This record gives sequence, C-alpha cells and structure tokens, in this order.
Amino acid sequence: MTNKYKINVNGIDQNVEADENTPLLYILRNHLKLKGTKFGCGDGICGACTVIMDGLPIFSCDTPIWAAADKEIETIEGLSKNGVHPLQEELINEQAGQCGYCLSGITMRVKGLIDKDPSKTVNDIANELDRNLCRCGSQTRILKAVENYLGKLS
Amino acid sequence: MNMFPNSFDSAPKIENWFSFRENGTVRMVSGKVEIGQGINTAFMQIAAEELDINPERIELSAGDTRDCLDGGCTSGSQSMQTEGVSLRKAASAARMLMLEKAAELLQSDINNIEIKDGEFFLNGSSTKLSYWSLAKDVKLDKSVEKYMKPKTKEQKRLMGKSLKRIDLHDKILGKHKFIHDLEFDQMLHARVIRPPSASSRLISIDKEKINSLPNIKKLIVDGSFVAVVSKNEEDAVQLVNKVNKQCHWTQVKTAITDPIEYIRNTDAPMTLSLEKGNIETAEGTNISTEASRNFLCHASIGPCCSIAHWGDKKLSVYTHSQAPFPMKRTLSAIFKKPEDDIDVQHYHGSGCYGHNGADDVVLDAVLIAKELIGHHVRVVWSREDELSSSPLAPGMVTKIDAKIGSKGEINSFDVLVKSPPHVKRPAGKNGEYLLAAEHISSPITPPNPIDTPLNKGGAADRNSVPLYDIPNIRVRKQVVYDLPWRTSAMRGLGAFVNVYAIETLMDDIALSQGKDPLEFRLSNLKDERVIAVLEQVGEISNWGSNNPDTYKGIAFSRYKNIGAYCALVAEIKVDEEIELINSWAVIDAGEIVNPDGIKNQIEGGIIQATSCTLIEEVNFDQEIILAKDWETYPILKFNQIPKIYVDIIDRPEEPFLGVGEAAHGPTAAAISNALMSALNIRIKELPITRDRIISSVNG
Repeated sequence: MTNKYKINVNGIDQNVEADENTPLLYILRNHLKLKGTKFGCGDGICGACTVIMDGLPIFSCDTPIWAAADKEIETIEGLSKNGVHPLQEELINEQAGQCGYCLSGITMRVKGLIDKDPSKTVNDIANELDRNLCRCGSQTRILKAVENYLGKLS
Repeated sequence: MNMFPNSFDSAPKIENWFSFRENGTVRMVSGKVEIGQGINTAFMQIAAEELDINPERIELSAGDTRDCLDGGCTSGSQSMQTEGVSLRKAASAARMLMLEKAAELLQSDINNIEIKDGEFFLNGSSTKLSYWSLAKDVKLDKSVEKYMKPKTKEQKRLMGKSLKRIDLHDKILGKHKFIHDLEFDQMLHARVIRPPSASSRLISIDKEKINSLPNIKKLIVDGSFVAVVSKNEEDAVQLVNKVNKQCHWTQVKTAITDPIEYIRNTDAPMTLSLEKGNIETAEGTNISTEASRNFLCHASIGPCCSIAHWGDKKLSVYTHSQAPFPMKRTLSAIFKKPEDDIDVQHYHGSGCYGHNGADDVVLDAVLIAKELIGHHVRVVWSREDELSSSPLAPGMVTKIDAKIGSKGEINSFDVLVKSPPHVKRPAGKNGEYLLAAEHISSPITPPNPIDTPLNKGGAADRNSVPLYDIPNIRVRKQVVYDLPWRTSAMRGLGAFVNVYAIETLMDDIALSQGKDPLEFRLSNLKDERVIAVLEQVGEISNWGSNNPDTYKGIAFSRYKNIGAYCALVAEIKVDEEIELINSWAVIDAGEIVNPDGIKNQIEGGIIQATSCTLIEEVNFDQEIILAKDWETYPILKFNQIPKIYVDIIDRPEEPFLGVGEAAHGPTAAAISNALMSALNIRIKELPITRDRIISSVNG
C-alpha cells in the first residue's frame, strides 16, 4: 500500500511516497538520489547497504520504509557533508580499498559503532564487522585505518 | 579473437593516446579498464613520468569503444606487460614530438630543453612554451613507433613512488559513480527470471496472468529468456517472484553426484602440454600427490549490472565488462548490427576477479532494450544470480608423480591436469558463451572452447611446469567438456591448484628426506630471481623459529612462469580449524611503478586465496547450484584476516610483470604446508575445512 512517510536524512527532513514495504535502500538511492549506499545482497548479510538509523548501524536493504518513518538516517553522503570525515581521512591515508564497492557500508558501520562507544578496540570492531563483507581483500587496510582513527580519538 | 592485441594495431598514432588542451590538461586513453586492481593509476603514473607533468593534469578515458585504442580484455595480469609498455612508448613519442616543435621555435637543440610539469625551459629559463601553448600547432597524427624514446633509468622521477589511487578518494567518500549509479531520463528497470539449472528450459508461461500484475511495464519472453520490466527498480524486484510463479521449467536430472570425482575419473582425450627430457627412463622412488579443488564463485559484493539503449540507429551499452571491444564485436555478431553502430562504454563495477557475469548481463540488457526502443534499460542481477548464474571457477584435479633419486635429487615430475574449461569468454564470432545466448529462441550453441596452450600462458595447465631444476618433466591435460555448468576464468585459472600440487609435493619430498623445506627448494633452484624472493621471505618471516602453538609453511611460484615472482610464508594456529595468523610475501615484479599498488594487490590476493583455501566451495544438488546467498556461499570475514607483510624487490632494469594473480597458488600451498608442520597431515582436497582436518586426523 502506498503511503506518505517523513524521514530525516543527513539532517534534512524528506517526504517520500512509497509502498510501505519498499526497502529504505531504494528510497535512498532512487527517490532521494543518494547513490553512495549500495545494493549487495538484499538479504541483510553482506553489509554493502549499511546506514545509521537513530544512532545504530542497520541494513537498509531489509529495512522497509515504514520502519524508518520519522527516524534519523545518516548515509555516507552525510559523513562528508562538512569536509572529509576523520575516519574517511584515515581510509584515504591507508588506501584502504580496491574496488571500493563495500566501503560505504563498512564506513557507516564503523562510524556508528564508534560513535556509540568510543572505547571500542580495533578487535571489537573486527568482530562486529562480521556482517560486512569485502571480496577484494582490503580488510587489513580498513582495520589499520580504524586503528589510526581510534588512536586519534583517545 | 585475440584478447591481448598489440596496442599499436588499433592505436598507431600519438593522437590515439593523448591530446593536449589549452586549459592545461591532457586527455589520455586507456584500453585497459579499472576492475579494482588500480591499473589506471599505474598507467597515469607511467604517462606523467614520460610527459613530465603532474599526474593530476590527466583526464582519463578508459574502455570506451568510441576511442580507437582496443585494449582487448583486461585480464591475465597482462595489462602492465602489454599496454603499459605501449603506453610508455606513446607518452614518450608525444613528448618527443612536442620537444621537436619547441626546439624549432626556440632554434635550439632538443637536449637543451627541459620539461617541468608541461612547461618548457631552455637552459633553465622559462620559454613561455608548454604542451598547452603548443597544443593548437602540433598535430599528433604521427606514428608512436617513429617518435618514441622512453626515458632512461636515470631520467625517471616518478617510478617507484606510491601515488594514491586516482579513484579511491571518491570511492571512500561515496561519491564515485559506479555502473550501478548511472541514471538516465525515463530509464526502465528490468530483471531476468532464470531457468533453475543450466540445461532446464521453459515449458510454459502464463503471460496473461503476468501482464495483469500491477506495476508491470513489459514482459519479455524469447525462448527460455524471460524478463520483466518496470518503471521503478523496487517494483521490478518485487515482480521477479510473481513472474517466476507463472513459469514452468523442465527439471533436469543428472547422474553426477560428486563433480570432483567425475573429473578425477574422466575419460576425456589426453593432450601433451610439455615434455622435457624423458619421463619414461627416469628412475627413483615414487612420491606423488593428487590435489583437487571444488568449484568456486566469483562472489563480487556488487552484483552484475548493465544499461543498454537501442536507439533509431545506435546501440549504446554501459558495462563493467573486462572486454569492451570484444563485447562490441560479440553484440555485432548476435544482433547482425554493424560494429560502427554500437558503442560500448566502461564504468567501474564491483571487484572483478575474472570472467564473471559482467558480459552476460550486457546481453540481458540489450535483449530487453531491443524491445523498448528509445529507452535506457538497466538490469541488475540478484545476489542469487551473481553466485549461481555467473560462470563458476572450475573444480579440478592435478596429479603429480615424482621420481626421487638415491641422493635425494628430483629426477622427474609427471603432471596430469584434469579440469573443465577455464576460458569461455565471449569470442565475438557468433556471440557464443553468453548466458542468455543459450536461452533465446534461436540459441547460439556454445562450441567447446580451446584450452589456452601452455606457450600462451596455459589455462587448466597454467603453472603446471615446476621451475625447479628437474631434468625430466611431462605435463598432460584432460579438458572435461561434459559437465553441465558454465565455467570460465577466475584469478589464476589452473595455477591455483597446480601450484598447490607442486608446492605441497615439494614439501612432502623435503620432509621425506628430513630436509628443511626452504633449504630443499633453494638447493633445487638455479634462477637467481626465484632464489632471491625465497631467501628474503625466509628472512622477514624469521623462518626456522616458531612461536608456541604456531606453525609456518612456505611456498613459491612465478605466475604463468613468465609473470611476477611470489614467495610466501604462512603462519597458522590450528585447533580443528585453521586460523591464519601471519603471512609474509616477497614479490619481484620487475620495474616497480607504484609499490603501494603492488602491495594492495598482493594483500588482497592473499586474503581472497585464504578464503578459497579454507572456506569456499560450491555445492550442487544434481544440476542445481546451491550457492545462492552468503550463507550457502560464505567467504572470509573481518575477524578471520591475517596480518600481512609484503616486501618488493625492485628491478628497475627489468620489464614490468603483472601481480594481480601472483599470490593465489602460493597462499594455498603455504597454508597447507603449515598444517603439515602442525599436525603432520596433508589435506589434498581444497578447501581445507574443519571436517576434512578432523577426518584426516582420525583417519
């Protein structure tokens, strides 16, 4: 059933009209043209679609719009709204990527986890990233960047 | 079709590669495409070196058939060795041609003119001449081969510098436009409904019911090719299951219960790949191995995607294919459309590790766009399609019988490789090997592809010839064509299993003589570059000393026996399951352009190969591929990643050697050799799963 929903994305209120079961991912990518969030599996397993909703990293591919209504969503575009985010700076310094397709989801999960609990260690993050996959094998560099970022926070 | 054409056949002139603009930029053309490996950064670095400009001035056009330069296929770790060398020549020719004009205007000798970031200086003083000021007056329609004069080693300044990847900044910021992110006015979204297995076909479809579904724009049925089109992507996704419910497919039974066993027992014709010395007369004690690997998925994180637009005359295709020009010829053959009326443009996709479904999804999109003239049609595969409809990496079996003389010398290696085909790339001639080509109402029957001969790098038998000093070597192969699944090239092709077989057998021979595996290898080698990487990896890994509860293994290969050298030590912990703790690699890739680019490729190769070695395999139910999601086809996770140390030996006088596939075979073998050191068991069947370790220990 098509309904009207209000969501706040990267600090801006957005009104969207969509079927209630439309995944948030398609709202972001196709309705709001925020293409930084990627489709990977549609099953909530690979993490390519990860965004932050009310402070928690979630899979946007299996979150229907009705469940995101009136929530605050942060996407990769929001992260660099005021220049490059320090986590992204570390990723760039470490050249932490190959194809780069998984990076947006990984970045958002790491950001969400550390914002919520800055005392996390790089090992904690590695364990909690078990729902974000990278096929090219950039994990060592990504974790190095996370470690550098944590070092600068403390 | 030649997948590695000589660049100068299609792009003989300087203008085919470069054009200088008055605004201070340089347009550069690349026939090779970015597939996650960073090739375009290395290429820009080579060009900036020869042109003496800041690399940021370069604007790149890569893999666009509207340019002349036909790069063939970006594969086989060949880009640096082929087009990279041509590009260096082309850039040097551009520089020489411009210098010649400057010398004429300045009435000076070329040798007195220096170029700094595109500006020309005469005896150290500014001349106000530059590439940009001369752009209008110098025609670049001259032959590269006539003007080329690449820099000498002493003149180079940018080689060996770790410039940052040109594309990663925007990818990290989420701003890079991947193929999936392209949008066009009135673009339509399509999804394909696949037969449940390779040879099952459509019996019937209830079109009336389907056409009455909400949000459907068009249903396309061509033989067993079924697609649904909608205005919105989410609606197209929703329609797939609903359409599939109205389709009836033939169910195909097969007698094959264990594909690897089937390959092992094949009676396919045996061909001789190589014979050195005389295997029949070699004497000694027999030591043998029979290594095998199950089928693998490419398993990119982003599924395959393509957009096609069939206009009044022109067909435009947007793709992340490794092979834009061959794709153009293939489409021309299938649709009987002149090549000049087809444009193929490359956009970055998710990581590509070989011949995945990138080409197949192009045909999907074009078949649909042909029915919707004037519309851009975008097709994205589902996760299930990505895993089970892409060509698989073939399972294979490699048997080696070695004869060891009384003094421990290796007298012979007799290698037999059995494998389904590794190369089924669309060849252009008839449009064969594309998935949908077998499903349409006039199907294009795929002929058995030729397994690339060893002197062209080999395919099933790639890296089957040991580089050790062995007087008698025979390599034979049996290519198994009668399995139902589509198989094609994935990182390393046959090298993965062949290196696994050779390098685990080398350890077995060493241990049978009570010798250290590194020392034993060194004593059977003459090639100094091989010796150098092995000695250095021994040093950096502190070979010979183990921490409590950890075990090391070593392995080596030179990719294709003509590419990059890679020696590798793996350090594991094992308690029912293997945990890879550390991995040390030493690489010799000839002249280094970008050290960090090489390290990135090797690190990624080690991680991906570790996943293939420990976890990955495709399971089948009869003909049905059971890899459908990340739970039925898991890959290595963030908390299973080793620490990796990569050293590179720079050889500035030597030619470039591609590194993309160098680490795969050595990683698998080094892990297995470490397991041998830990538990004294040899697992010959990959992947080395927990079950196989337990049954091997108990057995």
